[in-house]
Amino acid sequence: MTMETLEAPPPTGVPRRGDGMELLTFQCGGRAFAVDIMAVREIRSWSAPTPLPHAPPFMLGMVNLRGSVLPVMDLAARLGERPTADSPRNVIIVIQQGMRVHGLLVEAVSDIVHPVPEQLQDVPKVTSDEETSMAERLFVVEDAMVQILSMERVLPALPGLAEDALQ
Amino acid sequence: MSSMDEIRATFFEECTELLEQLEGGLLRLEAGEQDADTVDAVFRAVHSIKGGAGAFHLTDLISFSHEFETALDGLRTGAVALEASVVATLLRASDRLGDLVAKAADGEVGDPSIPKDLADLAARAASGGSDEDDDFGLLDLPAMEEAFTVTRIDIDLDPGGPNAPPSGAAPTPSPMKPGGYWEICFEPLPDLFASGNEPLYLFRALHVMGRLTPRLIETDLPTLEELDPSQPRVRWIIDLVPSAPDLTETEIESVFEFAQDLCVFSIAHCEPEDPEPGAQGTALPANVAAGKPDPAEAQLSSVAPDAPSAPAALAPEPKPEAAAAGKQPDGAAPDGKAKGGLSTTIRVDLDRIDRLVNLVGELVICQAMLTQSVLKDGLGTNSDSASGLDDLQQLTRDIQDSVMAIRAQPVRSLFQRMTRIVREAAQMTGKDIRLETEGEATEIDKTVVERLSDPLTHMIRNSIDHGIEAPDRRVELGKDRVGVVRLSARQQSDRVVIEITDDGRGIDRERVLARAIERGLVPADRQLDPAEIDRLLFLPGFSTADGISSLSGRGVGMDVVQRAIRDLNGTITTQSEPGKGSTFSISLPLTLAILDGMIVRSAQQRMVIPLAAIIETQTLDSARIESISPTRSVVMLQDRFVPLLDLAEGMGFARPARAEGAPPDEDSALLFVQPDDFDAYALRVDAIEAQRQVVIKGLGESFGRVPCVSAATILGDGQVALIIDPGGLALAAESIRSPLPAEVQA
Repeated sequence: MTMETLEAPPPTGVPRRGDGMELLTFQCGGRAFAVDIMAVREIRSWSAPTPLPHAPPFMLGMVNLRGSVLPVMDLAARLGERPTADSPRNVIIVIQQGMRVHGLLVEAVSDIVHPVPEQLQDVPKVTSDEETSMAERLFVVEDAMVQILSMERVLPALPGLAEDALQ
Repeated sequence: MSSMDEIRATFFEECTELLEQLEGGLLRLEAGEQDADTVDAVFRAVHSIKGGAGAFHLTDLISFSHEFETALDGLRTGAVALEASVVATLLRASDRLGDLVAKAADGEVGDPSIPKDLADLAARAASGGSDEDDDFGLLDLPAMEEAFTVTRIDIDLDPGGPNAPPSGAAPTPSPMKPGGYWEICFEPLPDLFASGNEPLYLFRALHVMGRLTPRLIETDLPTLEELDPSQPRVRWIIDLVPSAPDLTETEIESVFEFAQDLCVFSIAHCEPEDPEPGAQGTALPANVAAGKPDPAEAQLSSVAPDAPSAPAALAPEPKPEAAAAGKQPDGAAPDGKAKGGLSTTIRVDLDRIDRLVNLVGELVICQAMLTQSVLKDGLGTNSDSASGLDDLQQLTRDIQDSVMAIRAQPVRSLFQRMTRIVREAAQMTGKDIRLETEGEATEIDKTVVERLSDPLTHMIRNSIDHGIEAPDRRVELGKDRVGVVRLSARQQSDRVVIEITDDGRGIDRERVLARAIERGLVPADRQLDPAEIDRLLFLPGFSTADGISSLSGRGVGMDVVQRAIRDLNGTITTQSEPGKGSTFSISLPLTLAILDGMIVRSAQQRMVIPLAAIIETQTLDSARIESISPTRSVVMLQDRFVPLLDLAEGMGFARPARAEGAPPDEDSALLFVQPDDFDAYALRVDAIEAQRQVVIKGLGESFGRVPCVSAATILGDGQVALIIDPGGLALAAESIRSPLPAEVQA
């Protein structure tokens, strides 16, 4: 991260729509993250998930999403942080990634932002850092940094889908 | 999706059906049902694919189906005799056509080359046909000629009018004189003859009203070998130039008064059009080709010269039978043109049906909850509300069954697909295999049909590759050279049982056991009974093939088959007799949408156990539990001990700590479950809450494979509950998977 980028003044008035990207920002484990708003299907309030057997710790289970079954994971736990504490303020961001629909438990949703290209940065290479690798790019605003998450990386590979194809 | 894309999608959907018709027809031909209808159906199928392909400029498909069509035409004309080798060529061609269609559907380009055998066949067909051309001398069978002579209904009312040119004559809409004319479409239904009516009299009655120019619609006429003379097969379009200009539609209709319900007819008034030169006043006899020239038409046309050349009066002796002879019912009207009637089927997007299935599922849940709360509120079972709810329950069940019936499909198409697998596998292994099928009409959920395709393919390949011996070996053993694979389906109460049987060598249990020991799947000193050995086949990582054959050894084994079946809430069992063959039985639920289950509680979680797997329940107090090691317990079931597993522990859920020595919940119970491929075992649960129908919610794309669980459901309070897969649970719990030490067996 360079000072130069930080100093770039945020545009005033009509926001310049960088590369047309709209981001949903949210808080998780005390840090700020963002996802492409096109991947967000809805945001829903917390409801107790039904646990899944033999699931990794970040996999909280599943909840009833208007008649269909939605898997929910704790994003903080997925990023290697301490699991999100139970709180009625917690929300589930429902993410659509291709055919998969997933819920991400986060602490709170913050804002919708339209970054301009100057505000976007590639993720600096930090060796073998699991959590850095979950971020696709960085979005820098004022003195804060928001990690834009790559849903491909956040959603765990599905066991038993690829290798089970019969042919 | 643009409308063009939609049309395209429809085309490919139709292609699938057409390919099935094609293959089904060819298989009937192969089986010796060499009737003209079948040949025609096959021809039509290819022709329709070609036609559709033309609309989408799928050139590969067009050229291939054209060649195919030419070859098939040879069968229709008789230029190519219907021999086994020919049918084999055609079957291979139909496989290729299927491949090309599949490629085209994916927007890819298939291998457009025409196999040599097909090209040869087409060449033979073409040369055979062109020799005779319009003459069709190959139809010179005396019987046919005779049939044609009587068939001819020459209702040419204009003496001196030339006989029609043979087929190939322009299908001109016979033009009329100025003043307009009536166009009457007339198609006798089978009952017309049965009730003693006679089209001739209708024509005569019309003739009184003016000048008639009948045109015979003779497309899709079958060849003459299989005529059913009691069935009318011809349709006419009659142009009537009224002698009195004030002729009304009602007057024409009155002619058909007595035949009103016995024929399909329509009357339209036409203004005179610019007549085609030369056609003016020329009354064509009844053989104007109305469509593409095809041999069937040509056959009819070819009789024209033989017919009495004096056209004068109405047909000499057109008995009803004679009139019928020209056309034969093509029963199913497989080309979808429901003749003269309404189509009785509609195409519906599967999503819409699934939505309905889901809604009905919710209705079932809601109804169950309502019943519960009515009873809870103290309204007796004899109250009006309760009896009303009984009716509601009945209705709900009926709706549910009806909706399921929409999704139900006969397994025929699935079985038909397997014929190709058998053919290919037989070719690759050099074995002679005959596939016998039974119960193709058995219906099962569409999704099941689709998802059975892969496991069945795999099992059939296995049977052929590993089960059936090489032909020479079979002869040595005194068996028929041709191995038989039987595929049967039948409904058994609320399940469908599909069996794959071969008459091969049976499961080589010694080899299976040796392999399992070698792989470390069972301890070397373990004594296993035959059924246990058979079950080893389904263990992951087991494969008996010594070398990986290209056919069945692709690194997937029967364990994958089993998992696929289990995903469908199905079970699979084996039976095998050395030297006689093996049978694999797949038992599947009729529907994937609803399950009868027992709702239980364990570690504060509610879960559903499929009722079908439960063989007995006991309260914990009454059960006789023995501990055989600090971590393993067994429990008495009838006269033997079976392993005991705590449900929550088996699922990997943390149990809330319980004070040492504290008495267990008084509601605790044991469910004895018997997964198909495992021994029975007992599941300890904290409470049995209810027995209920639950709506199955697949975990599908978003979850991947979840161990121990077949699906989920949503309970009355909106909470999601897991549906336990007892087999998967047993698999996850090692203590159950390994058979009990012998000394514990009671």
